[in-house]
This record gives sequence, C-alpha cells and structure tokens, in this order.
Amino acid sequence: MATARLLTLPAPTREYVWKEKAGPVQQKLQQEDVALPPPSYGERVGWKPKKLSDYGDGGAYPEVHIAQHPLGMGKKETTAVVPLEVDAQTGQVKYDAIVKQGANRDRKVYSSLDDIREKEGDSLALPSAEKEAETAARTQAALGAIIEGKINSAKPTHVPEACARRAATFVRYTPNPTAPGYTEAAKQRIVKMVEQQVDPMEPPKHKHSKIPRGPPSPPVPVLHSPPRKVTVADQQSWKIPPCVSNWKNARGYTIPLDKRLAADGRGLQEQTVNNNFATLAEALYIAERSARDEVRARAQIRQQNALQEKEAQEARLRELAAEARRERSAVAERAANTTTRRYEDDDSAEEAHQGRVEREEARIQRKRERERQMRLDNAKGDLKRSRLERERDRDVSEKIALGLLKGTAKLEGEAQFDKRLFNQSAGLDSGLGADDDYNVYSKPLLDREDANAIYRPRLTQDSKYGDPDDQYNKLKTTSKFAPPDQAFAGTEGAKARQRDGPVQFERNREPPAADEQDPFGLDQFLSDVKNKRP
Amino acid sequence: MKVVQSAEGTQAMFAREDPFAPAPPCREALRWKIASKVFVVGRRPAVGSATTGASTLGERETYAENLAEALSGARKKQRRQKAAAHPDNVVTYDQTTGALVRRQGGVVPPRESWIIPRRRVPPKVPEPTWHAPWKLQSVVSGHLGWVRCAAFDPKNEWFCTGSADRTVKIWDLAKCSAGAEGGLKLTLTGHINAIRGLAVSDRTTYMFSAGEDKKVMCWDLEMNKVVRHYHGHLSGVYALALHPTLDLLITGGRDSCARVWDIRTEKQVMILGGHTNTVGALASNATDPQVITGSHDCTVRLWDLAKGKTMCTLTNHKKAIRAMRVAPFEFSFVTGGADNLKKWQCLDGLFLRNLAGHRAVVNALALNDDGVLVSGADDGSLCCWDYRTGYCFQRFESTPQPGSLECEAGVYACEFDKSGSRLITCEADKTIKIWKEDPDATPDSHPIDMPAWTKQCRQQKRF
Repeated sequence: MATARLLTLPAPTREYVWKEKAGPVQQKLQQEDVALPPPSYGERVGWKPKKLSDYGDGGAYPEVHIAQHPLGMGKKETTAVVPLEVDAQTGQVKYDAIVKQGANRDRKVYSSLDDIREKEGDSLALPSAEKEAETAARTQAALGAIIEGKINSAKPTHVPEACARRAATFVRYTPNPTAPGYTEAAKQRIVKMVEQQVDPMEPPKHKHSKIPRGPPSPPVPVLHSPPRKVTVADQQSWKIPPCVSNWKNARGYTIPLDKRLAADGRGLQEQTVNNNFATLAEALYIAERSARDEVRARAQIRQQNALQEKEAQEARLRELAAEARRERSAVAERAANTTTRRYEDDDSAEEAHQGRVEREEARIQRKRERERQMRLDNAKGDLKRSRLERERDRDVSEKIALGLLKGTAKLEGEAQFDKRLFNQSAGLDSGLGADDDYNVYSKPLLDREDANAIYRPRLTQDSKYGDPDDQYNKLKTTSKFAPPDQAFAGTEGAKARQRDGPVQFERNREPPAADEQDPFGLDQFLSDVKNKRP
Repeated sequence: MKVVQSAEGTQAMFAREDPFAPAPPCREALRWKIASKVFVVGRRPAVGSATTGASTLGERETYAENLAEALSGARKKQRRQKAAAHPDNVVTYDQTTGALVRRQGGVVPPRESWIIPRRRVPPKVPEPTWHAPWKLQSVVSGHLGWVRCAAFDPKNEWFCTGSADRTVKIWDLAKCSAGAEGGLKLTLTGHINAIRGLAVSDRTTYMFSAGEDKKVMCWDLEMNKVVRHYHGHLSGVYALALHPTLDLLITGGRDSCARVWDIRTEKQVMILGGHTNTVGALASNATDPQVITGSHDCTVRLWDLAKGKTMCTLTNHKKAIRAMRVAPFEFSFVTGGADNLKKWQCLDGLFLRNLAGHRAVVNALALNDDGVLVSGADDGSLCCWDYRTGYCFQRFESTPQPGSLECEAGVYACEFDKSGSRLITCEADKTIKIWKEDPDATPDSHPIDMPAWTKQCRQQKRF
C-alpha cells in the first residue's frame, strides 16, 4: 500500500529541515576534523581546548582555567532559528510553530484555512458553577499574592528581603585528615555563618544600566484577506475638503478687509425683500390708525358726557348753596342780638385773647417739633432711626415714674439673679466673660417682645394669616384717614356742612305736626282698640 | 458518466468521475495555445516567414476550427468523455456506502490512503429564528454632550449614562420609557472629560466610571460620592468591565493596555500589555478566558488572568474593534468593528460566524437573552441580528432630534435592560432613545426573507 501511495503521490517539491532531537554532539564530532591531539599533561600552559574533539571521550582539564564543556555538558543550546515543522495529519507546514516556541507553548494559534471558515461551535455550553468556583479560587490565589506583595511593600515598616538580617546558620565542618595543616585536636569544627553587615547608606558599587526591553512575542498569523483596493467612490467619500479661511490666505497672510469683502460675494447678491413685508407693514399701519381714531372718538364722547354731568352737578350745587345762604342769613339775623351782647364784657374778651395766644404758641411749638422730626428723619446715619427706636435706649426713668415699667422688683425665684451664674461647671469667670466685654446684664431691662409682635399677622383657625376676605372687607369699609368734616351716620343729609362758627344748638319750638308725630297712625289705632273694648 | 456492471452482481453500480484520471490540459495552457493561434489568424504574417506555423489557407482553416472548438469548450468535453470511456479509468463505487470497489486496470488502494480532491459543497442554510422588529418608544434628552456609555441597575429600576458633558446621569427606567416627567434622578459630576465606560456592580452598591481624563472612579450610590480612584492609566480610558465573581475591575484605554484593579485596595494588580493600539472593547468572564480585549490594532486577545498572559490572539478582523459582547446564554462572544461583526467561541477563540452587512463603523453592540443582537454605528444606523444564525432581520436609522445636524446621527452605545425588552441607545445628538419590540408584529407581517438569506449563505465569502 505504501508503494501504491508513493506511486500516486507526486514528487516532493520542497525539502524540509527536521529538528534534530538527539545526537548533536555526535553530529558535531563528525563535522569537526580531528587533526591535532591535545598536548600531553604538563605541556598545556597557554593551551585552550576549543573544539569538542579536544576533550576526547569526555573529562575536563583542571589545570586550564577556562569554562569547559566536555561533550557539550552544561552548555546552553541557544539558537534563534525555529525548525520548520510539518503537520502529521495534513502535511502542511506548521506556521504557528514560531508563535508557540518557548514560554508560549500552550498558546492557541489559528493558522490554517479551516480556521477562517464559518462553523458551528463545538463547546458552546456555559461553564458550570464548579468550574467557575475553581477558576475564581485559582485566580484569587494568584492575584492575592500580587496584591499582598504590593500592600506590604507600600507599608512604611517594610524591609526588603535583601536587606533583612538572616539568622546565623551553623555548619559542621570536618577537615580532610590528609590535608596540610590538619591537627588531631580539631577533628571537627562548628562554623557559624553570619551575614556581613552592610552599610545601608553605602553608594552602589556598580553603575545601574537600563536593560533594553526584550523582544515582543512573535506575531500571530494574520487570518484576514488583504485589504481591498480603494475604489474611486471610497476615495471620494473620504475626501474632506480643506477649510478655507476668510481671514488668512493659503500662505498664512492676512487678507485685507476690502479683498475679503469683495471675495465673499456680498455685493454680488441683490437683496430682495418680499412684497408681503410691505403689505403687512401697511396693513398694520392702517389698523393702528383706525384704532387710534376710534379711541379718540370714544374719549371725546366720554369727555363731553363728563362735562355735561359736571355742569349739571355744579348748577345743582350752586342752587343748594344759594338756598343755604339764604337760610343762614335768616338765622344770623336772628342770633345777632345775643352774640353782640355776650362780647361786650371786657374780661371775657381778655380771656378769649389769652386763649388765642396760647393756642397759637402751642401750634408753633408743634410745627417746630414736626420740622425737627422731619430734619432728623432726613438726616443720615444713626440719626435716621425712627423716633421710637431712638427713644428706646433713652432714659426710662419717666416711664418708671409713670408706673409703666415694673423693673425687677417683682421678680421672684431664679429670675431675679443673673442667669449666667447658674449651671457653670467651670466657675464664674467662664460665664461672665472677659473684662472688656460689654455684657453687664444677661437680658435687656425692658422686654419688648410683645411690642415686636404687634404687627405680626396672627394665626387663626382658618389659615396662617387670617381670613383674607375678612381683612379685605375691613380695609375696604374702614377708612384710616377719616375726613374731619365727615357726617355722622343717620344725620340729615349725607353731606357734611361747612361750618363758619362753633356748633350751636337751638330748641325746636314748633310742635311736631300730627302726621309727623304718628306717621303710621299707630297711636290712633291703639286708642281705637282701647276705646272699643267693652 | 456511465453505469457499469455490478462487481458483486447484487448492487447497482454507477460510475463517477475518476479522481485518478489524468488531468485534462489546464485552462492556462489552452489559452496560451489559443493565443498563439490568434496571432496566426488575426494578424497576417509575412509570406514565407519561418516563425509562423500556418501559412497556407488550409492550415489556417483548421486553426480557426480549433479555436472555435476551444472557445466553446467542446473539445474539453470531448476529451473528458474519452477519458471516462477508457477502460482504465472506469471506477466502480458501492452505491450505499460510496466505497470504491473496483478500478479497472489499476490497484485499488484502501480508502484511508485516498487523496480525493475536495468538492465545494454548498453550505447548509441555517433557519433563522423570528424576532419582532424594534421601534422607537421614547426619546430622553438631558445631556449636554454626546452620550457615550450606559449601564443598567441590577434591579432594572434605573440606568446610568455617561456623556461627553462630563456628567453621569441616573435615570428612572419606568418614567423614561413612558416619556414621563422627572425621569432624571441624579446627576453626578467629578470627571473632567468625556465619560467612556460605566458599570454597576451587582454585588455591592458601587458604580464604576471611566473617562477620557484617565480617571477611573468608584461611586458609592448610598452616598452618591466618589469613594475610590484607580490611578494609573497613562491616557484616556475607553472601556471598563467588572469581573463577575471576583472583586476586580478591568479597564482598557488609549495607552494600549488593559489594567486589572483590585476594587477594595485600589491597587493595580496586573497590566495586560501586548496590544499595539488603543484597547477599545473589553469583556470579562467568570472562567477562562477571564478577560477578552478588542483593540484598534484589529486584534482580539483572550487573556489568562491568573498568569497575566495572552491565551490566544485573533487576527480575523480587518478594522479596529470597537465593540464586544459576551452572550449570556451560551459561551460565545461577538466583536464588531468597521468591517464586519464576528462571532467566536469563548473557550478557545474559535471563529464561528461572520455577520456581514452593516456597512458602517460599528460602535456598539448589545445582546439580549432572546438572541437579538443589535449593532449601532457611527452614522446612526442600527441593525438587528439573529445571534444564532447571523441573519439581519431589521435595519433602521435613528433620527437625530430636531435642531441637530445631519452628522450628529450616531450611536455610541446600546444596551438592553435586564429583562431584554427595552433597548436604549446613546447617541451623538445628545439624547438617549428607548426602543421596544413592535407588539403588533407577527411572523406574517414581518416575514423572514428566506430567498435573500439563502443567497447570502450560498455565495462565496471573503473576509
């Protein structure tokens, strides 16, 4: 069968170098020519064994002080050439051998054509929990060691292993009895081995040199097809136009302003405004004008109405005034006799004059006071405080005299003592503070807490700030500034009358008319009822 | 092909093309021949020239006939028929087992030693699973920059998004997906550059964020404060993953390495170096390979975390790898870049499937338990794939919100919620879009396009 296969197979086109598994020494021995035997014992001064054949069957030359490797023993085989290997199954060259050499032996390398074909996976099952736990434990152990080392080395008390003093070791030493200097007395010795103390501050004895980085791991076979040729369409789609500056030209010089304006085509474009803008503006203008006209007309009509009304009212008032004047003249004539009689007395005249003078003085004083107050209010700084505020700090003796302030006379219990004296574990000094502190009193003399709360809105049941409707009605109905000449409710005529003298009363002489006394005929009715009763 | 008599006399025999038949003259040789003839026929040579073989009219005619025959392939056919008819080349096969029984005029070697040229078998077309198409449910805006990453709460009550406006925002999932007010629960500030990676721990109350400002931070969500900094990255951090079983945090970034951090002590346990460009995507498993990194140097590396060494390097991608996702239901993962999406076996990195068709720079991948794979790209296009077969059942574009530029259509991250029923995409138009499955869709209303899928499966693939 082998012959059949050989018959069918074509002749090999390539030659392969097979890795030699054994027998390099023999090979080398064969290659080297055994020309000169090594010099005999005692004549080897200056001679060096160079070839494998110099060692014969093996064994080194102790009198030659160089590194010797008889039969290649202890010599490291270093070669950069990776032998070409062929797969036993397919007969194809194993291109992954170069990647898998050395420490990368267990690496998975894909290099065959089959590895780029689509296929269904063979081990797609999710890993089991045991596998996960096992992997976690393994990884934890490996990484834990690294972390521990890093943490320890970061500790300030850490001493590197090299610097640490190791404990002394003892060695039992038995000297060779045939050696020179051997004494019977010391058949055996115990040697204590102690590490020599090193000065930690000693400068390094050798120069540190940077070791160049080792070569990276060999490249993995590339399993993708070569890049496609870039088509014209692709190139065009990737073409990004360079930005054109408005300010600098291609050489980097600033473009002058006039050139820039000429270049940007600003003057070339004719600016057209849509007709509708004009139409809109016109329509707006017309609408506005008509609206203004209407408003003006309406205002005129209203004004005319108001004028007419006012004239009518004035006429009525004039009429009323004329009537009132007429009535008053009648009353004045009647009272003229009595008043002239009263002022004839000198004393009373004197009194009246004096009273007028006093009133005048008081008025002047009040005026002065008002002016002063105004000036104070207008003044800046501390003076600008309101009078109430200013007077708060002033002498309170008047208030005490008036009995407005009670002082501390009626305080009882703890309140009559300085509060800072209580609950002080550190002694009195701590409570009273420094000498230059101005805190003689623990609390102000006058408690103005309630005064502050006067104008605060009160809580009511309904809401936080009272019923808004109530407050509004109150504000609407009650006037803060009642006019002095306001008429009392229920008096005759809604309007108050202008007075030109003191208020005078007169007795109503005429008896009331019958219909005025009993306008509803109630008395009549009652008497009728009484009289009719049997 | 010729039916021959039975060898044993009991079974019907049939002849196949003999693998050992002498090869017909190959096409190259034939063409060369034809070319020489064309020279003769086409250009008339000088009379009496020694170099031309056909100077007479008759010769020329025969050459022309030969040429026509060769061009029509008739001669090749003839020759093949002749070869098949030759008694030496008639081979008999057993019909049931397909074993070679007899070859006339030759020694039949045992079956193990045959070398039979491989015939291209049309690949089997896998039947895709039907999935409902996805449609937009709500749009959440609130970030002031590109939204670059998202992560879900293990209880599925909220999700967090990291943005180029240097903030992490925490959103209420229910409110956001209903489009209600007050979806934003919290805004966390602390990063000084765009945030590129987020992860919420399901074993502690910690959230982890990584940004282009080289910072990796651990947030305590009970206090809403940064409790730990993982300092050491030399450049921006682009990807972040939490180890599922150990207290380890893995980050990868522009310094082309992945760093493994001990969460508790803030120490860098290990540095996984070997990539020659930015590490753009990361994933972590409970078993080996515990870390998978995808890089802009177009390679994927599977790492042995205990040794800190690469287990395997996958070089099938042609473009930078920007997204990666491990399947929750089987031990496989999918990587995506600007060229293709590729599906791999997790255990050893065996190449399984190539998902071609998303012709854009794929930035994000999301995968749910139903086997719906969503890929989001730089130009705002999204593709939904059946993960098992690689059938793309939906392609759609996400519309940028009004007022944004056309170029601001881009998907930077997509994530399924823990139930797999909502998809959120983080976009370049500063919004987060929430998608759901179309409830009205049925296999009848949105059928699988089997003819196109079959065609796609059958065609020769080059990747």
